[in-house]
Amino acid sequence: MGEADLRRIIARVEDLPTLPRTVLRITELVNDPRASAKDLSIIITDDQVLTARLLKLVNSSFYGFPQRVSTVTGAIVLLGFDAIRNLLLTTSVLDLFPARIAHVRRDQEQLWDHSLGCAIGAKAIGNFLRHDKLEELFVAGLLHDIGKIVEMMFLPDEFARITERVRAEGVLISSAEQELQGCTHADIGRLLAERWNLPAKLVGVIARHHTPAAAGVFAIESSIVHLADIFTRALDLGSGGDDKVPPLDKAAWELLKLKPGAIDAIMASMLTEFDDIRSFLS
Amino acid sequence: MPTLILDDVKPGMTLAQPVYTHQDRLLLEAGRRISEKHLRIFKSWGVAAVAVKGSAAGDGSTSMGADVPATGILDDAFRARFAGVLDDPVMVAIMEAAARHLAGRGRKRKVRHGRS
Repeated sequence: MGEADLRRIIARVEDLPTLPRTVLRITELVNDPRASAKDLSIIITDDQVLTARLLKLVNSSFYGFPQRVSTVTGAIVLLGFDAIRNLLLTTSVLDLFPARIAHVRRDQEQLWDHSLGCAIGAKAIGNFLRHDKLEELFVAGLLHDIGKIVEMMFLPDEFARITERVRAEGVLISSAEQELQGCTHADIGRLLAERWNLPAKLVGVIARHHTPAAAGVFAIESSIVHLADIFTRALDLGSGGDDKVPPLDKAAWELLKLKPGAIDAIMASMLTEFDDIRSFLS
Repeated sequence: MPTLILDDVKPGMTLAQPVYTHQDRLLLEAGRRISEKHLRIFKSWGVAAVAVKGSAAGDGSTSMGADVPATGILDDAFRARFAGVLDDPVMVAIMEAAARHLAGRGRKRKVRHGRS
């Protein structure tokens, strides 16, 4: 991306929404080794919406706990601090971009379905590889295309030209973005993630989900999200702005060491979870 | 050599390709006749579909072989999504797996609608 393009984008997204104070406080608390489940519980129960969401999630079949969880402290103990932070981060981000124009709302809903599919796929692949941070992978999948939401809402004219090019020529959206805008949604997503002070790993995955081999220390996570993106498009879950399945990065595939036989199991798991989890995030 | 989702595989059919678990453990070699017991084992291991010998056309089954797109899942629109990437054998495997699962998903939805 050229320097002039970067400056122009930064100028246009200056009014980006900020994360709610509660989520920022929770993020700080999770990073504090002295914090207890009770400290976290006090902050969450202060916010009725977050409390309701948390209990709804922990009692959903997504987690599959055999007994009903009725207290926030119980949910924290069961899920762990990182999972709570990721959940609240996810649902709060969804709230930040209310689309008021009908066609933008439709595009956004399709994109969120795509993002949700990718999140579930990243978690399923991580589970298969015995990755120890499945919640982190879920959030990375959910936010990997956050740059497209910014384009839809803050750069509508450019985005309209990009989607027209995608429709007319059948190219990948990232190719059209690069050609018409000088940067891609991955570049814009990185800007937003940095502005929100999201963890470095999330910033890395958002920036490199199409070029995972270049993600350095986050190459594994970026490769997982890259593959989850391909699976989601192959299974037609939502829309990432074009109807094409992008090429697989060979280095990413070799890095993950997945056997072809794993593809079926991961896809089966993705489809089973998609409808269920969609119902409580929507 | 049609690929059938498991619900459509009948005892007595012959396997055209070996069946593996997702951890690449062999469940049944190619050329073996499929029995009721084999079907139960496939189900318990989460096998979604298998390739059988011969033609399944005309028996009402749901074929997903690239050469026999009976469900329409492997129609032009589906294939167009993979344009330009099928020189990679992994992408071919991804396309075929997606076709099998989409066919199964479509069938389940139809059954649900039928009962409502």
